[in-house]
Amino acid sequence: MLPLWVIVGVLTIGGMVTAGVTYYFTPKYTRVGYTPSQPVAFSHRIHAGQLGMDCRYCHSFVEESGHANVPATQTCWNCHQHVKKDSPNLAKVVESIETGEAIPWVKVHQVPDYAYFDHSVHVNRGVSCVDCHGRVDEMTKVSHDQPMSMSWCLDCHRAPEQKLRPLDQVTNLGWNPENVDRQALGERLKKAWNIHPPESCGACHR
Amino acid sequence: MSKRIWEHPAEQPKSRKYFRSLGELDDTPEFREWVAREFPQGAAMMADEADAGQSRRDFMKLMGAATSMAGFGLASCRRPESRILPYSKNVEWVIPGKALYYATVMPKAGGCTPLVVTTFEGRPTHVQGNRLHPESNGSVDGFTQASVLDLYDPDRARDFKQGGKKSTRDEFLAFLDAHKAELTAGAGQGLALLVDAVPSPTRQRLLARVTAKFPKAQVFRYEALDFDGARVATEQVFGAGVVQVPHFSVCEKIVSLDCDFLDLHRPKAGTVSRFMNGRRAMKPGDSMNRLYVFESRYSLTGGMADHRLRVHASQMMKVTVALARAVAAATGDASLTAAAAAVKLEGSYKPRADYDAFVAETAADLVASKGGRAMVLAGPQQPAAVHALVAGINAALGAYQVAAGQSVPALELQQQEAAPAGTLEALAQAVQAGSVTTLAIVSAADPCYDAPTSLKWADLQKSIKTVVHVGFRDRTATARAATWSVPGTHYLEQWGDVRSMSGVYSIVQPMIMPLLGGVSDLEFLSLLASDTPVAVKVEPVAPAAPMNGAVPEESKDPGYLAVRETFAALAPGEVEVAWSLALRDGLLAGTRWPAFTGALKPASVATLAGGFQDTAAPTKDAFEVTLVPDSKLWDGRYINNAWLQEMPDSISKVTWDNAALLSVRTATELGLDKYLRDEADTLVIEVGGQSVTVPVIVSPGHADHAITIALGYGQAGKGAAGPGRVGEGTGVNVYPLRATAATYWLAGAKVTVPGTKVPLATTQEHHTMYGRELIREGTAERFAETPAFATTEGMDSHIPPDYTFYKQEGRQGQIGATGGLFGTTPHLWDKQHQWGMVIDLNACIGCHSCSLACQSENNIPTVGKRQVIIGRDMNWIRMDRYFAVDVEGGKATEGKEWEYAETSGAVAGGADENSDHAGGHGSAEPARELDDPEMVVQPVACQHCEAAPCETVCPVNATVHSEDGLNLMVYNRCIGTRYCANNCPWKARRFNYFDYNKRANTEREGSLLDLHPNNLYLGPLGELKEDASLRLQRNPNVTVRMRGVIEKCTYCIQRIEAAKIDQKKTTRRQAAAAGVSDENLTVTAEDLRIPTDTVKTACQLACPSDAIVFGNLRDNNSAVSKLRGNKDIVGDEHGVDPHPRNYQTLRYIGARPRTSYLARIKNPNPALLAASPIEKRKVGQASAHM
Repeated sequence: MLPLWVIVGVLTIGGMVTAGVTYYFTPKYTRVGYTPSQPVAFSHRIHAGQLGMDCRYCHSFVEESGHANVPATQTCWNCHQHVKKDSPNLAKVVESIETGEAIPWVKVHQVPDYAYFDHSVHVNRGVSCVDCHGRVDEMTKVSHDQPMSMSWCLDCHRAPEQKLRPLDQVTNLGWNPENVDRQALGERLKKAWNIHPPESCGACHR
Repeated sequence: MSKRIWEHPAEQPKSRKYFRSLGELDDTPEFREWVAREFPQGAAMMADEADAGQSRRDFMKLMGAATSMAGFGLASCRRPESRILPYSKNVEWVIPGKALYYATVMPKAGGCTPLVVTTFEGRPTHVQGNRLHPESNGSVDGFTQASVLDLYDPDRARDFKQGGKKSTRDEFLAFLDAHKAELTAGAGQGLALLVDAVPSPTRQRLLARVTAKFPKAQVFRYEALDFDGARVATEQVFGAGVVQVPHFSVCEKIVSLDCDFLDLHRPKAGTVSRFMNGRRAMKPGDSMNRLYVFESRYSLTGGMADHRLRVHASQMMKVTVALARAVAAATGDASLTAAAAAVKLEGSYKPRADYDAFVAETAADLVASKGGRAMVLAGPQQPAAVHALVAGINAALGAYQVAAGQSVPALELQQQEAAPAGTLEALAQAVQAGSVTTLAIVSAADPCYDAPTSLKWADLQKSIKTVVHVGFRDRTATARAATWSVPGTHYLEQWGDVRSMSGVYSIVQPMIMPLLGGVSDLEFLSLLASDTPVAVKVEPVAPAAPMNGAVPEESKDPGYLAVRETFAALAPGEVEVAWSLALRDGLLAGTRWPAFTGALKPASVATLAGGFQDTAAPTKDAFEVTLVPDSKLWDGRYINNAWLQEMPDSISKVTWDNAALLSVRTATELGLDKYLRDEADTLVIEVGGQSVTVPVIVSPGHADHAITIALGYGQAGKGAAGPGRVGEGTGVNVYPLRATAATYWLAGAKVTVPGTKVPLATTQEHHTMYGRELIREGTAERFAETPAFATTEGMDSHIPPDYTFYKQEGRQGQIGATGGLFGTTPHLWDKQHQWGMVIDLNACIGCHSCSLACQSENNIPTVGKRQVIIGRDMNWIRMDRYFAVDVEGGKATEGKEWEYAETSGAVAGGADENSDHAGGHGSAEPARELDDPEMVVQPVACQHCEAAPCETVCPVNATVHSEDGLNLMVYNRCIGTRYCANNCPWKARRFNYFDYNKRANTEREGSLLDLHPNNLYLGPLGELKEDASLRLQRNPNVTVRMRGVIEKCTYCIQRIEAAKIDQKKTTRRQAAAAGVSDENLTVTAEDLRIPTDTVKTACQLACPSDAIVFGNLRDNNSAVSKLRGNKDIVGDEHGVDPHPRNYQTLRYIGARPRTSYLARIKNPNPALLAASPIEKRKVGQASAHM
């Protein structure tokens, strides 16, 4: 028979390890805050924040496609052929335009291969970019804002009212109207637009 | 409450038994053992003690290695960095994540298959038919479906090779310039071109330019399976370039003399659907066409026949003459009488006791529909004499006339543009005469492998000084022996044009830049015809680029320029507009071959028929060997296509091999094993001085003393010298048996049984239904009397309503609705969509197009021959092929002599007066059931049961129901217990035993770890697939499954979800267009319903006979609601009634499958049933219930 303190000690340490893993090894801790360096020091804070460019100028197919496309270099070049063309920060962009090679952006948000998230259906039904991506317009370097775990998705799918907003405010990341009861607004929109977010597995897993 | 026990009902005495394999029919112990295993696939691995020990030891070694590797793995515990690579310059029309569709055609000998190709960011992933094309009903055959995989084949031609050594494009072009200079000096003396039989106007034009530049050059045409009989016959009987187009839709009676017109490789202008439209039997009493088939082996067409007679391929002339005499007598056609009399026959022939009555009634039935409503078709492999005599019969029947009330004749004659070219024989003679010094082979054919042996082509080709081979496959004997091997392009990456079978000018447009920078046939001919040096030529630019007009003319793809030039001459009006329209539609509207206006020349019929050399019927000392195109590899060109290799043959269910098909009687005589498990007996066949050893499959319904073997397999060589990683070592080459090109059968074969066995993978006993019959069939007469016979007889007639063991109450929330469906199954709460499928067994021919379309759409892996043998094939849709025989009291008689107990007397009595007939069928022997069974087919996939047995047994809820009625399979939850697969009554679930998608399925010798010879068994230590190119084919909207998960039919949920999402977006867009502000936007539940029948599954679109109907059961207007009925879904007062032929399989289980079937209807000839007791037993009682 082992001494009692050994048993208690093993159980305690085991329990702490288990608890630690289940709590800290979740997307909430492993993903949130991931802020990789990008090949081009593109600042969303300047473009989307200070300059007030709409998200859809670059992520142009977000309302059409499941993917919110990362813009082609050509899109950068629309402006930067005139603006700060010779800045060393834009060297990779110029190179890409000249050679036709892609800029290898680092992926920040990644859902597993077996999950099929569709951007278009969310932005067309009153869910804002900010609800998943955070205040990108205030980020110099894009950072992973929300856990994007399945339970996090389901939280909203089960009670979408808090997240619904008028369709013209979807890309307005700073939208925070005074005197608006988000719950009441959400309930009204949910009813008017017949929103029943799917909860069956097949909605995302195919 | 005590547990309800429901035993499977005892098998009731039946007069008819449906079976897939002879083992199942005779209920052998081996078969019982196979089906009784809990996990048949897994148990097969532990077959004996020695194996089991071996496996355990391997397992321990693997685990040890894996554990140590895991230790290394942990050292780099970091988030993997992945990259996004956007375009540098935006590409027109491309929206990342959205599919783009382009029209094109797949060129084939004699025509093309019109297509719409799905591309994702420039990658073609899936093809479907082009409904805009007059020759397509929007379906696609299996060959075309699988051709997408060929594009990404890592073993396709990639390098320029000179004498087998790697070279470059520049070196080749330099050689070409120098060689052209030489040739020009001699006006092209010694130059010969060998092309295939694709009717491309641009190629024809370029060939003319080449011959204009080199006046002494000669053009030859070669296809390994060049069915010359029909061409020669129509040329002599009607005129040069005349082709005969059958219009099945206007025909009441069709007779096929060895003509497998439902076979799908040859471009046949939507034949299947048009034939089916004549026999849909949508209402009781609807008229149906009647099909008589005379053939030596079961074919798809034979399976659809209302009456079928086994006739040796070589004896078809005797049947034709008998038919001609009868038709001539009935119609009083003197010239046909004369033509029939001109044929000199060798001995008499009586394939069955009721033969005379059979032919007489067939002829009488034909004559009853004369004048444009009846036709006779002769098989393409039959000689010209048979075709000529058949043309005479057709003329007598008035098949070339337009019947009253119709717009087309039964057989339309069209005048094709002649494209003169010599034959391979002529080329061989020229080579022997030394008049060919340079040969350019621009063809998919492989004459070194498949040319007739009498030519000794391989030696001849060596004697030619310079041979240039341009082809998509260079792992062929011909390409290897060539001086220069030039990598060709796949049809999905080249410009081109084809005249379809009826003459519609169709455009081949590229979907992608040549992956490996090949040279298309048009480009090669342009280079050859070019007057300026070609070596300085710039690389062709992206095919999309010419559209914006910014690309200089000289840097455009020469294939594109050549096609544009041809097009400009053809297109009416504004060429640019016509071109854009043609690219969009895939064809130039209004183009067609003109009608042939001449008439039949009876004298030529008699002359051709009179020149026929008949042979005596085969006997047990002199077998007949019939060589047929393979149902998967065609002439062998698809040998390296894993999808096709693994697709079971429609009739024999063999995968990865060809085999000799024999009748049951002949196999018994030879003492061969009838019960194929995983090893087959072999047979040595000696004929014409050649000998081959082939595995045997016993095939009920085959002619006696005859052997059928498919061509195309057994391409020699290993590794880099072989046909490729997939095709290496598959099957047996039987081309050496062919002495001349026209040889499709050989008489006087000697067979011996060496007693050896070889492994052979067939799927006919896989996923067996334990004798529970899923099939229902009846005759037209029965359907008229009892329309709902499929659900009102047998077990179906006394099933308690709403009975189920698999209750779903309370398994999901959202209860609230009451009544109808919702009372019992609240988990199906979606009021807008409830999905269902109906498969019409009357239309299904068993061709496997659906399985291949499913494979392409749903990223289904192939597993290889060894895995198929142990029952691990992965196809989501399996095609069950049943044979049916009459039995007494549901039991085989003693000794398993399946005799006609009651009819044999009558037959014997009738046979007395004919007892002198020659042939292999001694009249002393009574006809046996297995000589001549019926054949029916049924595709089975997941049935999406409302009360699904699989869902109740999953311990981790990995298979659950969605609110819109789909049985979901959640791969990321699955832990691989396989309980669901075990509890599925339809055996519709497949398990990923290995990482089939990721790891190469190769047998290795002396591998590094020496743990297991098969790479798959090394698990995570196994090598990954060597070449990533196959990944490009994958559908990005479907998960690529990994090892250890179950998968099955999803009703193409990716298409359903995409449509739902589109509908949600459309609602907003419509509101915006109508000026409704977002603020005031209201969306009703009804607005969110997908428009009727806009979601179609891959199998549905691929089905050539439109047998599969999928749709929304919540929508009364949908096609599926009208067939299946939806009162169980929407309530009695709102729904529509089912079609009378609609039935659910295994209904007594109460699983309530969402897939239902329409019973099959046969349309036998009452006069023939009265005249022939055999046909009466065979067809007259066609029925099955359980």
